[in-house]
Amino acid sequence: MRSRAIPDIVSPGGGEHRVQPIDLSIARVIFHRVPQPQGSPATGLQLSDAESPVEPEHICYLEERMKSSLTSIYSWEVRLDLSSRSPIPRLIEAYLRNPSQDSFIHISQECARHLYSCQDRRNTEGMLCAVDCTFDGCQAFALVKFESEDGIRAHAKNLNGKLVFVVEMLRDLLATKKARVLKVGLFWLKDGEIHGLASDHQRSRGSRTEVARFFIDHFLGARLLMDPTVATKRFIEVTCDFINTSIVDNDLKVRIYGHLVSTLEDAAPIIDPQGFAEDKMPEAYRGSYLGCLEAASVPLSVFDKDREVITQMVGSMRFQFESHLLLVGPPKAFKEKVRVEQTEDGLIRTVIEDRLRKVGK
Amino acid sequence: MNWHTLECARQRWENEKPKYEQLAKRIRDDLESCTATAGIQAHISYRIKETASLLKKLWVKQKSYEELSDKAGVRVVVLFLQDLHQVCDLIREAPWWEVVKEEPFGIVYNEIGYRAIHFDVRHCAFPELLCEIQARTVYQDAWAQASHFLQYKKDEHIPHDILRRIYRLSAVLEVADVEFDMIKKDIDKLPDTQPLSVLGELEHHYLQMVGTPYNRELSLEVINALMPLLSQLKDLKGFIHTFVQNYGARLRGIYQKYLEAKGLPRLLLFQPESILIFACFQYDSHQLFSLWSQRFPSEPLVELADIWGIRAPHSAEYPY
Repeated sequence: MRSRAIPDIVSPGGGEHRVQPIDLSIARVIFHRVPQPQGSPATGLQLSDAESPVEPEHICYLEERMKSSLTSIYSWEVRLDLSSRSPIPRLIEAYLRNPSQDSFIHISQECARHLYSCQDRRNTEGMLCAVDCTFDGCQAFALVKFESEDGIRAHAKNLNGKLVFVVEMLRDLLATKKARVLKVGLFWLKDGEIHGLASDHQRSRGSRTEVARFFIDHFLGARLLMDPTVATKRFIEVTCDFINTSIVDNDLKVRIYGHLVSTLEDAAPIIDPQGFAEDKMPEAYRGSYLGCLEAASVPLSVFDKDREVITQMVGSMRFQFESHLLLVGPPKAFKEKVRVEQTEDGLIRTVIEDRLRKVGK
Repeated sequence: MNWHTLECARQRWENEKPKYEQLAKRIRDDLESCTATAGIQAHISYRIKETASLLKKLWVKQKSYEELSDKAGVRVVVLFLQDLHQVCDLIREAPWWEVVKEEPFGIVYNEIGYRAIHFDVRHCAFPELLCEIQARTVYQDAWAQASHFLQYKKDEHIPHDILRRIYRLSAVLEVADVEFDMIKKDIDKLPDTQPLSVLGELEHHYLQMVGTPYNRELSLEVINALMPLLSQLKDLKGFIHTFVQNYGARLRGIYQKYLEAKGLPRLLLFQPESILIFACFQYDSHQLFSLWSQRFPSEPLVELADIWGIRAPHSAEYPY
């Protein structure tokens, strides 16, 4: 494992892992109903003609839902691809550079029309909400796709002197609290450049499926800022360096390295650095570990796993013998430190030339 | 004092009442603002004299209409003597009015009662009008309410045995006030790792920013639960103070926004410990959630995480 300088992170307890909170403030919203395509163009599409009147509590609730989505593990830094076939990047750029009430309504309608045209029956129908807002004090624009849910409610009623619970259906519920991650695309203008954050829980299944790519890639016309190959490589490097240099106990080193290898080699198409830190890294090291990842620009949100990189960097070789002896190690170590010979009676002689660090049970 | 004089006073009062009401409201608002800024917990109310009450006072006191200085009155009631001294300083130094008269604190040794301090002030927005400000502790207020009910003012009308009992009672209230004040000062001197001391620091900032009522028992329970995290900080008061300095505008914005969102109650937001929780989100949110989950359900903390705009650990998030 190649060693590398790790930034000094002071670790009182969990460590000084600095958190940048999302500062989002909604000015106005407009909702459009976007059903699944139904035969003739734009059948069922209901476009608002004006901003939606909302109370302060609705604004606060929507801000909370958006912030919880954009801070979840299913959110990514993105960039608008102006060469994309989707018109959204050009619409958003036009709005951010010259925001106005009329253009807000017109652009939101165009976004809804595009969503309707690019959806198919695999996509859930619902509402598209355009949001005029500020992000960290900068002019911003967001698109939130709400998927409707049905539910039931039971409330107490006095019927003929008896207490009963009456059940009623509630349809078209949006953004219930249990739905932690909404499909959100937030873009803001800072120092002349457009930055973006997008969230979509379906993206966590990897970018290979059309459904996974639909919202961010096809609808928004955005691409992830962090390339999976780069992200995977950096994650492995930083984690191995951290294990080597920050963890003193050798047994713990081996255990965490084992967790790392199993995380990299499991069937999940994504890597979740935050989840790895929470589930596999002891509490005393968690904060400083996350600080190291952040300092090395490793995204803390979920990213696609690049298996080729994993095979090159971490792939293990194993020799398992009939006596249940097991020799495991990286290919490089096998190449440099292990000599394998066949004896005259067909047995394998394995010679390891290396410094012994520890003998234990 | 004749009937004609009283009738003129009545008519004049009916005309001037709305203006006096504006004056009293204004002074109440100014006092709320400066006590909040100073981090003093105070209950401030105002009243305009009822017409009948004004006429009765004119009749009994044989004073002229102009001589009555308490047509409009504002009352400030605080918990502790040290707060009372601070409030009196604020009243004397306020830029919005001039103190025309001040009735001194304390009483002559053989007088009845445990009196508050009264100021007559002339507000710059209403230069022709006078308003009385009464500043009291809760014990002085209790005495004033009870003694008003008993309708005595002069001791020559009261038998000696009753008088002695009144003196004893007022002395007890005065001792209670002084003792509460000393206890508060001793609590404030406790090491800042003590939950009460932490709460005191948080209350000071909370009152400055919001000042809405809160549940003190809940505050202490939360602070106690977080002590393992807080005890890691060398200077906890400094940590809170620095956080408020750096994020004060953001905090005020959040509180203001949610004050207007009345239909969206958030359990922990309007509690002083919300400031501490927001600060701990910045310092070590993982340990915070871990400690929290040992004592409380995660939902209220996740609500605050959503408001602040940071990620809740995925184990605390609802499954999708």
